[in-house]
Amino acid sequence: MIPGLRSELVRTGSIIGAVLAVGAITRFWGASIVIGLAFWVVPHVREFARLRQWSRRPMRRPDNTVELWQEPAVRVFRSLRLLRNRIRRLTTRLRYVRSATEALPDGAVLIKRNGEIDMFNMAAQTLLGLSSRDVGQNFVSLVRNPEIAALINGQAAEGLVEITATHSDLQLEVRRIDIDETRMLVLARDVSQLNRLLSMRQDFVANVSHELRTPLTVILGYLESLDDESLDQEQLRGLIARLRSPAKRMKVLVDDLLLLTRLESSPKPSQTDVDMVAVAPMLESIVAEARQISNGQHRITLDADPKLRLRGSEFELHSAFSNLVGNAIRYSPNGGDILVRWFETDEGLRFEVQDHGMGIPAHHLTRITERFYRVDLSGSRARGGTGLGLAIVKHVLKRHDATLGVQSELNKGSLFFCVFPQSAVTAS
Amino acid sequence: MHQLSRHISEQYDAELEIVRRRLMEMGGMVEQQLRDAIKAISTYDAELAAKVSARDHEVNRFEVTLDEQCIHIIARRQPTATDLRLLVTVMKSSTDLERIGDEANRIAKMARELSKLDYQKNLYGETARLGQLATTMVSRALDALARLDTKEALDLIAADKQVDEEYRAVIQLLANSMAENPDAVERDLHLIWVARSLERIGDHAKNISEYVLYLVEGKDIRHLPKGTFGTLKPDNI
Repeated sequence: MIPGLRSELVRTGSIIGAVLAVGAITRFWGASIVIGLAFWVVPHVREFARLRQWSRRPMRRPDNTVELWQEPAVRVFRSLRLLRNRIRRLTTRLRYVRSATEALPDGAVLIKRNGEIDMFNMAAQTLLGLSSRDVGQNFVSLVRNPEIAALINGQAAEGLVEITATHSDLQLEVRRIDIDETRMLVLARDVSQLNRLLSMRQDFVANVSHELRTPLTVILGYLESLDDESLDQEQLRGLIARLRSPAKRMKVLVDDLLLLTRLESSPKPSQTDVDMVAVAPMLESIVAEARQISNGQHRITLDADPKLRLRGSEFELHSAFSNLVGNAIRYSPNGGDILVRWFETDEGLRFEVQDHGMGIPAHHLTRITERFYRVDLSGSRARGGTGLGLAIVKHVLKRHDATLGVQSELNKGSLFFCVFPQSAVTAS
Repeated sequence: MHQLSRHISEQYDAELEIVRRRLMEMGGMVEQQLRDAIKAISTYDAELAAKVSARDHEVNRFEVTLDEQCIHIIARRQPTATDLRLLVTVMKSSTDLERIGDEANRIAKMARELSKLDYQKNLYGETARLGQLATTMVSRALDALARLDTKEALDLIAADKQVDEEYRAVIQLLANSMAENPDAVERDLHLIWVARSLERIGDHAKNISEYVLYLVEGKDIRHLPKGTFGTLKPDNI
């Protein structure tokens, strides 16, 4: 039963009763019917006015008091409130999804069939050079790349093109994804880093092969001479001695490569694996070795604080320090002083090698730690470097949380220094 | 009846939109040509330069077909007001774009000449910077045209001055270099041509931004005496 109907019927019944009674007593039938009708209609008019008032702003609760009127109004009000809550939830959700697309590093542009931009994210602005007001503009007109035009018009073979961005010089991989009949999604991904890595890998393989081929060619040449049966013992021995040097060079190169690979791929030594390395005795042996190589051409001075020990891998530190000392000899062809120091500073422990050799032109400095990077290609190979020394140094230092620094002046000499932070250090 | 007339107008709109889009496509092609030509200069890439020259006729064809389409629309639709201005803008801009393409072709030719020479290549940096500036001008002008951005167009008209200044600096530099180092005169002469072309490209980009103002505001601001373009006007028009 409709709620409020019973009380309404009761009210109507009592009004009819009252009209009949008053009419019978006073005999003024007309007047009592009019008065009775007025009694009956006034509350309904009032309720109607309230309903009307409420319909202007239906999100408030209706203030009807008569149940017959109140009930439907409250129902409408409740479903409206449910709708509003759902809209709020969806809006939050939408905002959430939007912020996720905004955060995507790939540029995403939604394009209508007629070529107009529907919406796009932040990355699309920076990668494709769109500006925030460009919704509704023609996408191809703004990006203006012939290959992208072909992609959008459906002439590109794979739905994927690689371009150089007009606005940023970045390498972009642009992909077209059809969503439905009316819209398509264009995704732009920055692949410059990837391409750089790819070409770095190719360069590396090419470099290694080249470095190995030179000594191998020499060896093969001597082997051919060895085949000659007319050689006497003396000549044979001479040839074998000459085979030794290129073979040794190949071994050094392969050793360096293996070390570098291990440094790059193996995890950092854990705290329990590392020793407290006594650096001073290690440097003494390195310098003694260096004096042998230098053969009296250089005056090598060592100034090491024997109290300072370093937490780390002895083997790795040895190869890093001896590489730096070796470089100092290699790049001071005219002799001169070489100063090797190991001491404490405010920033931590510091190892440095100062030479007075040929120095490094400033524009090479940022790249000298790259594998096989050479300032002067022909010269350095003759000096016996593998091109991997500084790369090894860089990796060793990185594994010890240390930093490598260089100061260099052309024809005056270079200063290479390593700074180990206090945390890697204990003085005994 | 009403249906029919609306249909015709829609078709008309589509035709206008197509020529506008084709113009931007042509712009994209010219931009690519210019970038490649400058890259060929600074990387001594004769192959890339040859490719630029080979594509030049495509740009020219673009201009011819675009003009044909515009004339076709004018003849059939008898456009007025904005529509007419759009068509005029498209035709004029395509002429300027075609000229930019020609200059790019000339730069590519110089790149081929330069790649044959074997001098020290130290002056390319300055020229490359002028090239960068000119390329940005062209890109921004086309952007302004696509977005009908009058503010950007006005900025560009002012920015052309910067290109002119850079051009003068490069010429000065090359003149000094020729005086000091007569061996490299041939290279420097080539580079002067390149700089000249780049300066012309800046002017063409400026023209395009003037068409943007014409298209949007309906005002022809070319060759106006100083101070007549009201507050909108930068000082060098």
